[in-house]
Amino acid sequence: MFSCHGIHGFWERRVRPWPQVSSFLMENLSGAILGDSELEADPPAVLKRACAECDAAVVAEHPGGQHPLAGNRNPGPGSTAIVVLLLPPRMFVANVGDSRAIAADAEGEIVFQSVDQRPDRPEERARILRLGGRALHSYTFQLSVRTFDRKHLMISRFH
Amino acid sequence: MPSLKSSRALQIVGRDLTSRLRFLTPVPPRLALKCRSHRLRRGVACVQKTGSSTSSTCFRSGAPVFAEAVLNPPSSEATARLPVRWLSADARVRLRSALAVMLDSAPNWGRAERCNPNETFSVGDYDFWFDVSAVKGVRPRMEDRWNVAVHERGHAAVMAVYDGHGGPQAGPYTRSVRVVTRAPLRCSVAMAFMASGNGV
Repeated sequence: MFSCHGIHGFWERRVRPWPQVSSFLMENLSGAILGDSELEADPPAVLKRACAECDAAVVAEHPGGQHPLAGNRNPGPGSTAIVVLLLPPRMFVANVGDSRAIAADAEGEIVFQSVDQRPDRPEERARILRLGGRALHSYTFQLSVRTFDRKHLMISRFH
Repeated sequence: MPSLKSSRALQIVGRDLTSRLRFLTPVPPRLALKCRSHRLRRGVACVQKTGSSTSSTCFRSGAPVFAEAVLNPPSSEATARLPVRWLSADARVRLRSALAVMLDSAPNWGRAERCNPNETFSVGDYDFWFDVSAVKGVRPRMEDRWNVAVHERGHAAVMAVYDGHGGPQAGPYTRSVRVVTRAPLRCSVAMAFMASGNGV
């Protein structure tokens, strides 16, 4: 969904240097969650709906495929999101991508940890393949960009 | 960025850069300004990003005054209308650093609505407290954002960290945005949100 790493090219380096998606989420996602009328009734559904709405807006705004060299294989900008909704005495955590939320008690013991959404996890990879088929598989693994530190960037994009 | 709007000299320069770049780039003018400042920033060694959220004082006191001194010399406004290419090398460097600090400053990295970092606020029956630390690595821009928002009625709140990839540059960077929530009074649960990965 939000999670992707684009190609390192002229378009990203020079023409679109601003972190657009994370700024967009910072401006809009909390409002989409807190402005929902069913916030108390069904918080998980509210979180899912807000994430889906923001994802649709991001994809509509930045459809990708505009890279002068990579062409339509360019997945465009993206962002992860780790969102914690506080509805005391309850907490709801929504995760898209590989950010993480950790909750610990007073003794420092970890009582909760969110699950990373990474393509190298078998179930996440299976889910990607189930939803997107071979194209997404190639996106994830063929478009890995070798940086000068010899680390691979992971891409998953759902369109 | 209130100081960007309040400074007339910077408005002039921004309009100048925007109008000059409108014909060069197929992007909206606001983006062109950012793009231009981004290009200006390349190769400037003196821009050291501050790593803490308390750098707003540095941002307010240092950068705009600096920019005023560069862009609005006592002679005339015409200097501010000159193309950047015609400025002296020294002025260009100072313009670069001032614009880079203004456009990529720590106050832009996050947003707190109806609450403040380092202050106790109540959500429902519980008291919360959070702090933010953000460290940008070797990337030229900070692409992570955080957001803490409290509902108008005060019964709910949202805390979020976004790890953005708006313009990936070649090269790895270490990023970590960490929002730590502590509720010392009634709820002894600490939460840490991290947008830090393996440095890629």
